[in-house]
Parts: sequence; structure tokens; C-alpha cells
Amino acid sequence: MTPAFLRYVFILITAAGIGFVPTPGAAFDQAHECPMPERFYEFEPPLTKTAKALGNGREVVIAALGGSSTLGLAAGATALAWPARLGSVLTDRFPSARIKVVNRAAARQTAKQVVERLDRDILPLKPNLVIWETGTMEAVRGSDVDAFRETVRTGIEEMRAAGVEVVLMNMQFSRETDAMIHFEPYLIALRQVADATETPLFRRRGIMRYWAESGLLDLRVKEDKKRRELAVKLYDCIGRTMADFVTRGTPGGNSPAKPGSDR
Amino acid sequence: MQCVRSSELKLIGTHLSPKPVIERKCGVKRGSVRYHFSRTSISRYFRYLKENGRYFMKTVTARDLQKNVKEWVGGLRQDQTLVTGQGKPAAVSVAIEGSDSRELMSIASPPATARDLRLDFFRGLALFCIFIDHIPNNILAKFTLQSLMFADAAEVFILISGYTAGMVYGRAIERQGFLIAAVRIYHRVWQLYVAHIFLFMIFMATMAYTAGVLNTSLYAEEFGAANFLNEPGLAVVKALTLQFQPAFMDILPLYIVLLAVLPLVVAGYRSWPSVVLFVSMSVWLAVQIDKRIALPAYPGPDQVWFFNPFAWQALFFLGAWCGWRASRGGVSWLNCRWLFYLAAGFSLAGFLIRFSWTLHEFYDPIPVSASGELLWPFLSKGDLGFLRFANVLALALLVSRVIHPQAWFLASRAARPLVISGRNSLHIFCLGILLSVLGQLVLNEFFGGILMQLAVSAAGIAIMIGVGVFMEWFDAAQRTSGSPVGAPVAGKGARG
Repeated sequence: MTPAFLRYVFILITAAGIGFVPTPGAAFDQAHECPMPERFYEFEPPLTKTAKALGNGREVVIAALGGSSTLGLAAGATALAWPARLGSVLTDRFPSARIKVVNRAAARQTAKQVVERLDRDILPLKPNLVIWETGTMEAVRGSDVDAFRETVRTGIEEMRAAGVEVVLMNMQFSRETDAMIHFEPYLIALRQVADATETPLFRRRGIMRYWAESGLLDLRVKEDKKRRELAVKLYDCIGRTMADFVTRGTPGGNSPAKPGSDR
Repeated sequence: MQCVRSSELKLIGTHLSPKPVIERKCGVKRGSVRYHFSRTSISRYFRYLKENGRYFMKTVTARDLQKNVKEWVGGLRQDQTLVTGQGKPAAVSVAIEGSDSRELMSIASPPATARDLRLDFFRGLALFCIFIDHIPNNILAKFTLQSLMFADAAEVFILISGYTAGMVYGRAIERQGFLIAAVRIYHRVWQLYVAHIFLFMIFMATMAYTAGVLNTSLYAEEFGAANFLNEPGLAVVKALTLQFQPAFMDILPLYIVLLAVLPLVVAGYRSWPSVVLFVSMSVWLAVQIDKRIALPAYPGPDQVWFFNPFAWQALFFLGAWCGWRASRGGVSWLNCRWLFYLAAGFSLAGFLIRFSWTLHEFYDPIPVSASGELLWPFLSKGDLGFLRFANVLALALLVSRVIHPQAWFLASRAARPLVISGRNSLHIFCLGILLSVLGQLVLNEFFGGILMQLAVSAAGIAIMIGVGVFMEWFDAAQRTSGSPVGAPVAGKGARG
């Protein structure tokens, strides 16, 4: 009942949103629009199995886990969220592969709640790859860092055991919240888990900061309309960059767009 | 005041030698009567003399004392000098005989004049580190204590605070009695509490500023869950009861609670030191084994105090014990050689492992010298994991053995900013929190690279030093304009 209703609302919002928002993708035909400096991916372990499956044109299922920003709430529709954008970019790049990106994000869930629903919600999808965006709720609530790290590790190990490749994604960058929310320990915890389990970490926070710093995205908007435009643009960029990140080193995959001289 | 000759009394001085035998009853000849004084009765006796206006204190620097001690001792009779285990004089009496056997004493008392500069210096260093670490995206934070050892500035701050508190209030209990000392401690607790409320106001102001921006931003959905201002009334009440501890507001509540328990603990040290230490360590160990031992906090059912007081009390009270013992001659077994080598080895290992992680962060191909994963269970900050606890103790032992309390560089001009900041630790701490909030606002607003981060850090530290210098100047000005001179109570800054 409720999900159906929500979906209806989403469709409405999307329809309304698309009316005055530039069609996603139109403004971003070149990957160069959202460059990702080398330092954000060069030492992250590659996703060999997924990349191979993509290259061989098999069926590839990618599941996205996360919170509001993965759900795409700020853009107004799941169709505009980064997982959807990732799906369409990958489909463009690997036309022969049957790519299915499933968005299983849920707003305001802790890592623990996500791990608890892994085996009934995620693993039955038999995904090749799970992209897990996490850490925001823990940082907002200031919950125990060690417990968080342990939970994420458990989750990764559970998915690995089911033959799933995992990418971790950290929090969004925001200027406003740093004084109130202590992100640092949770960012470090995610880095530590990623290192310990050899899981690639998509450093969304650093990448977004880079975009904001270099003037590619102005993250400070006030009006509702501009806010939605920004969200659409941002999610599109994240989706594209994630496509680069996932397909690193594959014959079909573009190497990530490099900015002129970042390092 | 009659200046008279009287063969009399003496006391007190411990810092000339590491191990003076001061505890032993000292017999002092006075006329034909022989008095036996314990430490407590001597301090009572001094108080009596002081209250009757027959006592003044001559302050002599440690260096003067060391220079003159030979001549003084040469002129003294054997029973007027306390001799240490190594045959060095531990205390010197300078006495004048009086016709009515009233005496006038000049006491050379090194502990009263020679502050342990190491305490101020390293506490100042810890305060600067706390400021720098609290600014996100600050390159300098990669070079503070936390990247060189398992522990960080918080441990150093709590350990030194415990040591100072134990020393100052332990001495106060001896001199002024338990009640007065306890009142002094609670006065300090009150000051800390007020400072905590001040920080809370800063937090609320930041929030009031941020909340408006946040609700219209990209993150409204995501961070809206931070129900900070949803129930402001309750938040205020919970802050007053120390249960609401948002970012940066977690260390003062810990300090407040620990200091509030200190009178009982120091009282315990006087009677059964080993029992008190054993209980303290056992509670710490219990927390390591059962992570559920914690103090509930606000908001939410799972929220607990970030710094678990049941774990951190061990560090604070161990420090307090050392400080309490320092005022009565120190702890002999801390001087033994194997402990020194153990501490040196541990600190070195801690440095090599932790620093390799830091380098690895900078450049991924640099290998780590030990897997972090294995050490995680012992590195919990909130529960003061074993490695953090042991590393800060090892470092403290090393520093106390290698660096002299009045080492020249501690007294040098270059070290003064740190010493001054450490001496006014509470004010500088609060200022540091305020500045780190402002600093991160500046960094996020204007971005800027490493240069900007360095500039913000430098500006913050300069302001902290400036305020410290101002406070020192003001205190000195107040002291010279007519407060009682020579009060044997340790002066300002010698607070826990």
C-alpha cells in the first residue's frame, strides 16, 4: 500500500521535476564534466569479476545500498538518483551486457539495519556487485565507531561469502554540517575496513569536495528549484564517476576522466 | 615580628633528591624538649605559626638552594637536617633562637617555587593538538600526536590533569584538611561545569546558524535526521545533566565527573592506596571485557558517553596517584631500570606501527608495519583500549625520566607559549574549541589549499597564546597589587 503510494508520488514529482529541470544526461555528454582525480581511484582494488562480466556481455546485477542520497530524495525521484544514472551510463558503454541496477536504499537506516536485511533483501537478487553507501546515520547520531566498523566488516564478509563484489561509498560533502557532526572518525573507520577487507572505497566526500573546490558544482543553493537542479546534476556526476570507478581497467571501460593537473 | 635566635625546626623539600626519607619522624631539639613531628603535624604547626603572624616564607629558587645548600648544611646540626637515603639533604632548616622561644623561620622549600614545567608544557602541547585535530580537513592534523602514537592529545590531557589534581589537592588535604581541599575541588568542578555550559551555548549558536541553511540544502533529507533542534528544551536540560554531548562537548563532562570523585579517591590513597588502585584498574578491565558497561546519554536509547568514564577513570586516577605520591617523595619502583627500557621499547614500537599507518595514508604503496585489523580491539578511544592506555603511560614515564622538571628548554622563551597555555588550561581549552569551530567555518567557506589550512591553524594558535599571555599578565598585576604574599597554598594554575 504505502510503497505503491510512494511510487505514485515519485512519478508525479519526477514528472513535475522533469518539466523544469534539464533532462539529466543532456548537459553531461562528455565524461569530462565530472572529472575524478587519479588519487581517488589509483590505489583502490579493481573489481575484476564485475568488470569481466560486463566485458563478456553477460547479465550483470548491481545493487545499491544507502540512505536518502542514494535514494535520490533531493532530486525528487529514484530515476534521477546516482544508481539509475550509473545503470544508464553502463548500458551505453556495454550495450551487449544486460545490466540491471537495483536501488535498495532506505532513508535513515544505520549500517546495522542494512546488514540485518542483507540476506532477505539483497542476496536473493544474486547481484554481481553491491555498492554500499554508509556512515551518515552513524555520524549524525554519533554512535560507537568501533561497533560501526565491525558492522560494516560483517556486512562485507557476508556479501563476499555469497560471491558478491562490494564497493564502499562514504558520506556526502557538506560545508554546513562539519561544526555539528563529527565525520572524521567514521570516515577513518570506513577507510580502515576498506583496507582490511581489500574493498574498493568510493570516496564520495573527497570527490564532492574536489568538485565544489574547483568550482564545478556550487553546493550552496537556497531555492527549492535550484536545489533540485543541483541534486540532479550531482547524482548524474556521481553515477558517471561510479561507472568509471567500477569499470577501471576493463577493455570496454573508459579510464576515469582525468582533470588537467590535480596532484 | 621579633627577630630572635631559636634553635628550631625545619622542613620540607623533596625535589632535591629523588627519594628523601621524609616520612620518618624527625626529632628536633628545642630547648630541652624534643618534639616529634609527622608531616601532618608539621603542616599544622606551620599553620598555627602563620595564623599567629610568626611565619613568613622566603622563596628561593631551586638553583639558589642547590648552590647554597652545602654552606647551610655545614652550619647545621645533625638533628636539624633530614637526610635522604643517598645521604643528600632533603630539607634544610634555617633557625634563629629567641629569648621567649618564639621563632622566625625562613624555609627554603623547592616544591613551592619550582613548578614542574613539564606538566604545563605538555598540557599546552596537548591543547594545541586538540585544537588542530578538531578542524576537519586540516593537513596539520596529520602531524599531531595521534599520527605518531596510539594515544592522542585527549589521553595526555587527562593524564596530566589527573597528575596535577592529585598533586595539588593531595597537598591541600595534607595542609588544609580534607574538608577545605574537597571544597576547593568542588569549586573547580563548578568552574568546569560553567565552561561546559559555555561550550554548549557556542554549539547552540552554531546550530541556530546552520539549521536554517541546512533545511534548504541538498542534505535536508539526510541530515534532517540529526534531530538537534527538534526538541530544544529537552536538549538544554540534557546538556545541563551532562547527557547531551554533541561534537566537541565530550571531554569536559568526563573531566567534571572524574574530578568530582577525586576527593574520595585521594582520601582512599591516604589509607589504602593499593586497594583503590586495584579497584580502579579492575573497573577499567571490566569495561574492556564487557563493552556494555557505559553511561547512557542523549539522544536515543543506544547513545552513551563518548569517553566512557568507567574506563577513563583508570588513567585519571593513576595520574592522580602519581601526582599525590610526587608531593611525598615519588614512587621508587617507577625509577627502576627495566621499567624504563620497557616503556622505551613500547613507545618505539607504538611509534613505528602508528607512523607507518600515517605514511600509508599519505601514499598507499608504503606498507604498514603491522596490520591494523589485529589491533583494532585494543585501540578503542571511547573505552580507552589497552594500547592507548599503555602507550600514553609509557610515553609519560619516558618523558618524566628523560626530561628534568626544570630543563632549560622548558624554561626558555621558545617554550613559554606552551607553558603559559598549559597553565591556563581550562580557558585555553574552551577557546580552542571555539576557534576550531570558527576555523572550520573559514576553511569550508573559502576552501584554499594547504597554505590556508596552515594559516588558519597558526592564527588559532596565536590567539590561544595571546589570551594565555594576557591572563598571565593580569594575574601578575593582581598579585602585586595586594593579595596575601607567601601563602603556602600552591598558586594559580596549580589547579587540577
